[in-house]
Amino acid sequence: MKTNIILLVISILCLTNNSCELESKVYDSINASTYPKTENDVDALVTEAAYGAFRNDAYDGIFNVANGINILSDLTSDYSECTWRDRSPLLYGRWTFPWQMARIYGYSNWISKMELTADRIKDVSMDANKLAQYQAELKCGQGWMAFLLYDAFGPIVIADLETLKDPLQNKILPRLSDEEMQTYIETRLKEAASVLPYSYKKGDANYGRFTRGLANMVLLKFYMKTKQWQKAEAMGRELMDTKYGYSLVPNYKDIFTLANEKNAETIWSINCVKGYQEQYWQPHVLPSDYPSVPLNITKWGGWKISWPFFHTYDKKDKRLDVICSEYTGTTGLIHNEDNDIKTNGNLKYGALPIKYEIDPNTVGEKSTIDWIIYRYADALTLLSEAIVRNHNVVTQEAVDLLNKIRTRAGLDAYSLNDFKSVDDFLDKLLLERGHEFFYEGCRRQDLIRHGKYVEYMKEKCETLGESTLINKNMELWPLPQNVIDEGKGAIVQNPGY
Amino acid sequence: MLEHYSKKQQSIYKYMNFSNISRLDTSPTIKKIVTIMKLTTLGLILFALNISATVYSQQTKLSLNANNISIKEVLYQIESKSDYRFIYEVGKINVDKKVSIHVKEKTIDYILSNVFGKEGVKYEITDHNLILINPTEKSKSVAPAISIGQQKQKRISGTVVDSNGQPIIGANVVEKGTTNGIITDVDGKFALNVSSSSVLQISYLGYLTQEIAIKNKNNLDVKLVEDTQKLDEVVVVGYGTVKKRDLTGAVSSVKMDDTPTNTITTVSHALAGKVAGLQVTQNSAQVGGGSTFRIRGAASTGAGNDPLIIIDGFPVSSSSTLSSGTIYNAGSTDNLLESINPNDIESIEVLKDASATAIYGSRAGHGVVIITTKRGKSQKASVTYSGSVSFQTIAKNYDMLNAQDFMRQRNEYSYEVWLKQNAKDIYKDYITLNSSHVEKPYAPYYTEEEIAAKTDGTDWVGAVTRTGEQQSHNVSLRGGTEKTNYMASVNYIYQNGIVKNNDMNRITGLFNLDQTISSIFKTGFSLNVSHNKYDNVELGNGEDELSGIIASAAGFDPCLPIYDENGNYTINPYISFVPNPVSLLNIKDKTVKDRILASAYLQAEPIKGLVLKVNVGVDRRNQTRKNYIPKTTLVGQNVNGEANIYQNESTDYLMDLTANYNKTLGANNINALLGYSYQEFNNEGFNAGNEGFLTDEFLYYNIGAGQYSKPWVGSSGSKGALGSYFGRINYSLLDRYLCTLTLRTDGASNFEENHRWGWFPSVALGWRFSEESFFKPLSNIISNGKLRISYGTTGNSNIGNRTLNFYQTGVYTVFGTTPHIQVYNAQMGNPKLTWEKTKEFNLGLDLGLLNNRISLVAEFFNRTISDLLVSGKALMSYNEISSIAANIGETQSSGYELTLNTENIVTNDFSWSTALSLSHYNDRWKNRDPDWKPAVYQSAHDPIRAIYSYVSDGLMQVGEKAPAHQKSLLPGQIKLKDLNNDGKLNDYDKVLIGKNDPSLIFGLNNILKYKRFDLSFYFYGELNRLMAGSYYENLARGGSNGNWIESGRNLSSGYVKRWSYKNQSSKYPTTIASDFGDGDYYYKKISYLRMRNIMLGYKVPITPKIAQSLRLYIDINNPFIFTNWSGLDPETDNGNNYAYPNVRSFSFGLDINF
Repeated sequence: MKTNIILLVISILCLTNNSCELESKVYDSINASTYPKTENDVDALVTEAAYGAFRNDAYDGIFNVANGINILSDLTSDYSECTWRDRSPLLYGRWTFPWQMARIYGYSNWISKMELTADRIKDVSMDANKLAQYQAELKCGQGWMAFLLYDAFGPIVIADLETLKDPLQNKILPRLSDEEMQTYIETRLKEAASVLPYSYKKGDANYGRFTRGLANMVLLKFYMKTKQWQKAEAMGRELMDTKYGYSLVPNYKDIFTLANEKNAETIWSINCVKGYQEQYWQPHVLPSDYPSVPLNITKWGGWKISWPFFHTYDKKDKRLDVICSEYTGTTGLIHNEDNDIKTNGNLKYGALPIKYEIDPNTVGEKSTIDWIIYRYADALTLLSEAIVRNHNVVTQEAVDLLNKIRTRAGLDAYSLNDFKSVDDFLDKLLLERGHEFFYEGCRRQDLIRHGKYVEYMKEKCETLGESTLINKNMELWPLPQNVIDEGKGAIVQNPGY
Repeated sequence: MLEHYSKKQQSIYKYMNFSNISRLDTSPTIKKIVTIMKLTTLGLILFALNISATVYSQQTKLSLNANNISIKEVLYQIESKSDYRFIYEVGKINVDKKVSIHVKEKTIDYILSNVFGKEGVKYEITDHNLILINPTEKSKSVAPAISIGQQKQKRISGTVVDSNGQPIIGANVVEKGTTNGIITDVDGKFALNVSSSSVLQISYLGYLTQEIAIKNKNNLDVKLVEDTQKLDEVVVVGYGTVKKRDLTGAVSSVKMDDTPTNTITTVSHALAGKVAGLQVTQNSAQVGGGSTFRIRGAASTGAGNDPLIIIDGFPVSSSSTLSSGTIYNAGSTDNLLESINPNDIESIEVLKDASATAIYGSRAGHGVVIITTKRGKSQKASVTYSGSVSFQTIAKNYDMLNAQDFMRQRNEYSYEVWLKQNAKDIYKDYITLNSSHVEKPYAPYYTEEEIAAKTDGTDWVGAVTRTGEQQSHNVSLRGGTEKTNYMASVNYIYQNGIVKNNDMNRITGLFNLDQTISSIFKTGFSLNVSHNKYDNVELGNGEDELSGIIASAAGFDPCLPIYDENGNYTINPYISFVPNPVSLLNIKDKTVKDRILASAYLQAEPIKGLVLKVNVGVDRRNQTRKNYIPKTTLVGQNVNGEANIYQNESTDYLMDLTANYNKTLGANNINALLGYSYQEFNNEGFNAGNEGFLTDEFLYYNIGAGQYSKPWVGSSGSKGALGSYFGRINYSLLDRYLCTLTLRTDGASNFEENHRWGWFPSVALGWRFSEESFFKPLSNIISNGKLRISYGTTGNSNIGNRTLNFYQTGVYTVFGTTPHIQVYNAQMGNPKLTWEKTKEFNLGLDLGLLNNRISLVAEFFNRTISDLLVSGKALMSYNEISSIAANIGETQSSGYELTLNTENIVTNDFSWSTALSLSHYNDRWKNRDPDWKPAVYQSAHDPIRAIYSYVSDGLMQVGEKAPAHQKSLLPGQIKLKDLNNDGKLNDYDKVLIGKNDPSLIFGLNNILKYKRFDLSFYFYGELNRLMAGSYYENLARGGSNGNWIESGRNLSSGYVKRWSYKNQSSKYPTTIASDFGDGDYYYKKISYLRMRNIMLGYKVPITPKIAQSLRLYIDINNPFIFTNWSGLDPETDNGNNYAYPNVRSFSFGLDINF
């Protein structure tokens, strides 16, 4: 009896073990071993890898207007102000290891993601030209990201494919040398430019993809940063080629409107579409009681143009149309510099860089007006500067290029005689670009290139009654501490931090 | 299983008499039998043990067949086969003596003469099936009492009742020092001739023995107090039960009798401080607020530290809190024990060491909590109603600036800033100005007249809070016959929280049935159904537009009215994105949770001692959260109304097969268990949402009506399984040498086949040294003593599916006008992933002093967790995926636990008992992963919840030079130390300042009973948990930017005390924000002692025609707390800011037993 029962128990146990399978499933994901297979798969992977970082969607993307690279770059320059006082260390050159900068460095692994994606798609059977274009988009993204981070941090860590394929070995890589970094940026962008189409026109199904125009624009900025004036001049001229089809929008304020999205001045912009990608510019700028239309949009009221910088604008400058220095609040209060400095009102720290039209369809924080990253005016003025620097003489051509944006702003054109020297030209061009590209991520680069960064920052702080620690080392941002830590000595922090 | 054990336990019990005093021992079965007899032959019997021997001729025939077994075992077998019950005096016969007996269909007389005749043991059989062993001895002992003669004999009579006033039938009443005694009758009455100077001993199983001097009394009414710490208490362990005396592991048992359950919504709230080694922290004071359970610390770093919770044998999972889909969250609710009606719980066992938990193997790495609900009993149906009503008030409210103070402080802050920006007064040496600087005149926000006129402000917190209410009604039916036992209960509870709109409704139903089919088969069913409805209020720690109702109310400008002149909700024009707190009450946000926990078993006992059991069950959880944010709120207005519905359903299946064999061979007792268990986990989720509604009327009932261009919809699904084999052997020798061996192996589907199976063995040894003969001289003092030692391995696999490589779909990018979906590498799988292993050593000591009136349990443990599972081991940051699930390093947890139960006073009218629990643990890293990437301030053996910080050095005073590493420091700001003196403030200057663990957790419970009154009060608390500043301090320094008041955000009253140009002696720093942070300036070791509740009850005398008993009580929950915490509550403050205020509740309730 006893044995029979024991046998019975054992047989039940065996039976149930077979029927009770030990299986795990995650039904809502894609099995990596069978992916990618088709052109659609390739498109989905490349859309993620190449474009996923270059977004301005709420707080996501390297261009987001809260903590993105361009906004940080502007905040750490001489004209910006902010009502949120926890930004003071950024505004007044007192940062040590701010999380915002660490977050920007965090985008560096997108370069790896693009490298791996290029490898994953290389054997998918599809149209070879299309595949080549996808590969070029990835390269463009790599070069561009590398440039953005190089500009902020200097050389970074870039891993090769072999290392990336075996992440578990935890290989410690040092930062690239300056030369390697420059080579990387230039090669990638040039390779991409050689494949990508010049540009897409409004209405094109591919509008928003990377173009030769974008790759070359980044190259132009790269040459300017690295003071390769000759290459910069050539690249500036290249972008004026009609094959790109770039031209200036006649009125400054029309550049940033819903109706004029994808205009001919735009070299690359972020395609903002309701439900897919929405930028939060207005809420970051407009003060709470600003009588906006529509009225019920979110208004946090942060970013400002400091009053001293505002006063450098000519009164008739049409670019002031999109800068608000006085308004009557919803409660009837009149806000302007004098009133608000007395009452601690929202304009106490500066004027409002409204710049973009308020999207009539704005819902809460969300605007769907395309966010412009690079535009032709930037290329033209950089070319102007490159010509003068390259030849060390102010030429009529350079003056004409500068005048294009001056006259559009309703200002008098400069003549050659207005410039006492090359330096005088460069000073005026620097200011002009400052007036033109406020909050477009140009100012910090310009000040550093012109060698004025420390001087102007100091001037800003002492005028505003703020202490500052600014010094030459701060032209580069600090690498995040965790990157230094994981390097165990092999990754060297920028000097001064 | 439970039934089986308890029966055995009862039988064995009769032979155990621990008190060394010679007294008659009897069994609870007598009480039961007499109760049955009472039904037929009411009030007939009065036992008198010193009646002359009347041998009652018995016709019952019995068969016995045994070789070389103890007399004890023979008696047990006779009892189990008949209605005979034995009564004997301990120590007078050797029941361990071995005999052999082979009889078939013989009378009891024949058998006993066979057994005892040979051994020289005499016996008597009374006419009530009681067999008195060695009655001659007894007559002898009575005789001297008489023969002493000089002493006056008197007749004493009386009644013995329990704490409910119910008569105790069969209680022993013995004249101390003699064997002169009697058993109480069906009315609990007794009458006995004794000498007038004697002392009566009254004892009964499960109750504390009482001694009463007779003196000149003729009548005695004796109330016996239940002995809650009886050694023979049955403790539920995995897949079975064991007597406390036989326990070898660290197990604490909470019988729910003493725990007021009616006034709490979840039993979690009643457990804090109750069990040494179990830390229960209430996460939120909100209605139905969740709790965190930690058994012996929390040394896992990535796979969770939750103990395994088992409800009636079913390992249950917590359901996750569903997202609202909006920016708002509804705080933390109890997702696990909310489905259990606290009134239905019989006991809660906390299994702490590896020996106790190893039977649950892979999921037991952080202990096991076993919840056993009440089941039917073989008794007349008993119907119980218990109900209570409570009202609740805020125990400690936010202490914010009133309107006038707010106005003054706003002026003063802007003056301070003005001084600084123009380098005036104290700032003149600290700020450099250049020639471009223009000084503008200072103007205050408010004139003195405006401030003086503002005598009315808005109490925003008051506007969103109320007096809370709670009602609870519970009806249960419990009863059974010999073969069928049943239990059914229904509970309804509702609670309106102290924050408006925060409500809870719950209905739970419990039904279980046990049926004996034949002498071999038995079956049973359990069904536990719960339906929970929550009205969520928007909580959360967010600020600005993310403000929940409390954050918004605490910080709203007190000068503003709730509504503007048009009747709309006022918005602060300086921060128009912050919602009016009252407007948030318009949001409809409801959660409904349904849970069915059903199981059935069939068990067979084909041969004596072998029980085979199949148990199958299902745990189905269904949860829906629906919310609508109307246009009357800011968020709703921005999107023209937003509706969301989230659903989740989880279904777990369980099958257990167990075989249990129990055998006593002479002095050896073996209990063996073998089993197989399979559990499957399924989870599916779905959600949908829309915005842009024409009207707020639809709420979430017409999602399709939203006009948003891209309404959202989502779904998810996953499956996992766990298969296990397990076995356990309990062996005891001579009742004093105990050994438990356990082995379990688990296969979890979330690991690859090669790494799937984990082996979890454990061994425990126990020594009841008090049973040793050499210990007997001490037995008057130390009545029980046991040493326990155990070592074993348990595990943790709670990491999810992390071995797979997979992609997921993410956001879209639009090219042209076409959205292109993005697919990203979401997880890099780690095929080598395997179990986290917990190895634990436990040393325990159980001591019972003075006849167990004082009992002490002490435990020491040392736990090492290796192969720690983490979901995100950091890879080099250049990688596409910067982390991977992995097994990393080792942590160590050690500590001690002390439980002290004392019966301070036990008299007839008055009793007082105390229970104290203390525990301490220390968690730290033991070994780090080779790829560990430490920050410079981290070291290998740091505490797990280490807090690192700069070290503060007071406030910089006027005249002091800013230190080199803090060049921009201004007077009144916090100085931080440059520890490595390199002139820079960076990671090299951070140090370990402590840990976020308390150094001691304690609980203290007191129960006093006087006649019909009972009073209990219960404290618990923690010592020395390092915590950052509270809301009060955070707001005293002006909020996160320092300048909150500038934009019209209200601050705590501590703001008035801040450092300023005219108050340079303050400890609170200036609110001109520093660039360097606070370092450890606000960190403080926080301790608290909370009086959890105080309850006073009264048993109303009532005629049995109406009810058996009626008890009324009042209960005050959380009447006070002693603490050095400046926030609302050191336990329920979440992240220190904007916690739901804890409540104080006043309850009135009644329990009726029909």
